[in-house]
Amino acid sequence: MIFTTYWFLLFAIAAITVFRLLPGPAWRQGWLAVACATFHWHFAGPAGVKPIIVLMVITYLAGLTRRLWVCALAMVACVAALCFYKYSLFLIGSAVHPFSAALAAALERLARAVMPGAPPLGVSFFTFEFVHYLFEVRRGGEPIRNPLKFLLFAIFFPSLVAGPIKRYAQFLPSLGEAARSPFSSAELAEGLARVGLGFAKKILIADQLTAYIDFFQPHFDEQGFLGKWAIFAAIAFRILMDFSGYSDIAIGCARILGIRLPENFNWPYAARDLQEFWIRWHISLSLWIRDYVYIPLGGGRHGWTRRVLNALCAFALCGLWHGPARHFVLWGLYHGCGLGLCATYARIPELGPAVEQVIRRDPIVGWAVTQLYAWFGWLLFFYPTAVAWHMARQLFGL
Amino acid sequence: MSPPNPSFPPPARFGWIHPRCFLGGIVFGLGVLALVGWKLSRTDYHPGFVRFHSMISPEGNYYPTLDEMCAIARAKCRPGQVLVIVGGNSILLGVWQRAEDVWTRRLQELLGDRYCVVNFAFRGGSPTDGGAVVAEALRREFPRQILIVNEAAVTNVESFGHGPYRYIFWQGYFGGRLMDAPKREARIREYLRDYPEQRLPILETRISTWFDAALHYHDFWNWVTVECFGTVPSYREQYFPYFLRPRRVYPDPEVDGTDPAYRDHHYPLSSLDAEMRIMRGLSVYYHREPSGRWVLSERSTSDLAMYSDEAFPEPLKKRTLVLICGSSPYYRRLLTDDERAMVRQTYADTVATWRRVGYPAMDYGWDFTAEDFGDRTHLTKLGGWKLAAQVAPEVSAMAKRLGYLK
Repeated sequence: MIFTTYWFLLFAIAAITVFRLLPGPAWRQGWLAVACATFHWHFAGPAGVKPIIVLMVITYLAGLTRRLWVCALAMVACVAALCFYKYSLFLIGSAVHPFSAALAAALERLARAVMPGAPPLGVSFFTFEFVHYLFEVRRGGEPIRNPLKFLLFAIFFPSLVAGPIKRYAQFLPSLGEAARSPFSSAELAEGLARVGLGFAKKILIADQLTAYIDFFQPHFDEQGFLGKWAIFAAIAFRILMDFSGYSDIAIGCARILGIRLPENFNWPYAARDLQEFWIRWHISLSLWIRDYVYIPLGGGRHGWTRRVLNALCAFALCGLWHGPARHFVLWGLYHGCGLGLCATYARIPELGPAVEQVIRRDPIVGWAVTQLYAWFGWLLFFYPTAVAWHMARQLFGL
Repeated sequence: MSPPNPSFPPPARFGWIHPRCFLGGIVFGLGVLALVGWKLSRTDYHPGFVRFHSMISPEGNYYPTLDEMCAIARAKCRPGQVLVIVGGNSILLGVWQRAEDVWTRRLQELLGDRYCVVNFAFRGGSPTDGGAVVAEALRREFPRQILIVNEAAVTNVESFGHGPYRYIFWQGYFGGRLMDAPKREARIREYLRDYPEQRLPILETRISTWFDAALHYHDFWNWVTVECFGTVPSYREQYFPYFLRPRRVYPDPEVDGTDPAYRDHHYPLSSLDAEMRIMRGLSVYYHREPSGRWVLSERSTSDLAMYSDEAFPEPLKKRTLVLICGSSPYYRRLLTDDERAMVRQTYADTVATWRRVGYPAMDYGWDFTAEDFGDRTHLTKLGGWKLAAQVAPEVSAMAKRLGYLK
């Protein structure tokens, strides 16, 4: 984890202090660009830096043209790069191997020869940000003309590794304000408090839960009823604490710099229905999926069937975005189905209205059903399907 | 047309924080903690320290700091005493020996009050780990010091520590507390060239040493872990809330190898093949002359000499006693005469090499019985006391040679 390294601590202290001490916007933005490039170079290495430079140049130039087809081509390049770096081996294994093992082996050899050992740092995040930028420019938004500002949008270090996924229309004004404004003890205090909260979530809670899960999950069957449910709850809280802790650190660091990043979590385990869950969980991703996948596919504008299909498609992509494995896709589809059901259950004759009435009368029922559904989803997210199914059955003694 | 601004939820509320008070509180709090840490780094919080047993050593997720170890040595050693630091691995740590019977206690008894013996050996440690770093860091404070370390036969020693204990070396090295040693420097550079993947972890350690030099948080948290509550799981109490118990409540878990209850654990048949392979495997370093004599290969001879020579800085060699540990006769008797001669030769050659490059060295264990060993290499109380009896005169002789005692 990059944020828990001493190098990052030293780097952040130096980068933020100098940024705050420099006199004018140009100096501050220039320094921030140098700092972000240093951060990226340190953690990604030379091989990891090349893809983002190439895609950044393509996206920047395409945005400047404001031509629809150029932006569309650049978007294709971004998505293709993401697929290449992250999903090549998965696609070869699942789409080519069933038809020709020899061809799959040859393609895999080729892919391994040209790909770096690991996907470039933050590739899932910066490609989504680039796609968002191109999409908005294509839709008539103002492109970023200043290359320095575009560079900062692309490699802003707090959000580079694990988000939140920024929107340039929000980020640039905030960046400009931070570059102009004098030192603010309120921002520093707020940022430090947020960073502290993030570290506490990550180190004190998530890492402990990880140790607990790693030890007990292989012995899941041997646990008693309470033990099984404790592991189940630990899995759900571990991912929340880990990911929201990371987001807190990113948001806090940006805040110390005077920049506001979008929120990523808003008490998701307090959600009373699945739609609300996705408004509270990994918000920057779910809004991205909504704006750039679900709505362009038609959203809820073409009737009930299309709405469900669009949700399924968007959430399958959302699942796949988390990693190149079938269980991630299944997890996405699981949530897509859940959202479809959540939006339509009231139309089921007789049963639907009755259930709706119960949930309206007693919101805790909706909360319990929603959380159980989301938490069972984590089994699919973390474990191969057969293991997840087995664990789910064990929880109910089946 | 302007792009959509998705409505993000309001940011987490920190409005209750008064910025200046909060920042002042952070600075004040860090300052106080750093001060407490600094004080603790000079305090011995292991009263009655015998050794770093598994609940207060890295195997139990407890990482003693160099300052902590130095503080123990300072607390135990009175002015005027010769400080005898024991480093090395589990054999000198005293595995199979209860804390009250450990060989270093016997060594202290035999050496008498003019010496102070401190056991800083670690399970799986090397001669240049823990104890060696402490001795080097304390060389000015305790100029009259003797370091006792051990190693297996024909084993090359890395000059900058080993495995999980290397962090102690880095604390001394990056903290500027070790001697200038050009050969060691060259070896570290070579290591970083051969293992580029180690550069980042070592840079991390270096930065952490800088932070710790100012804030002393390692010492602070170690004290909290020992005195107040555990902060990380141990090998014994892995899960919340069990590991919260302070480490001081745990007794030294080593058992007495001579206790009949543990006899069955000695020399288990399941490990017989592996142990015999280790002993017979020493032959790869040797060739046999037509006369039947076993001769250490040129490559092994030069490697052993080079690594031994570089292991410690030149001025510290004469005060470092290297023990080459023998194997239990339980296994030796299973060797052929020829193999036994080869194994015997490995010990003689290793001792000779260490001596040639300037260290006092000796081997032990060839006259020990199977009862003196708890397994192939570790000594029971009986063996430990025999070892102490052999080492004590050597230490006295060294102290005289070095002019520590008249």
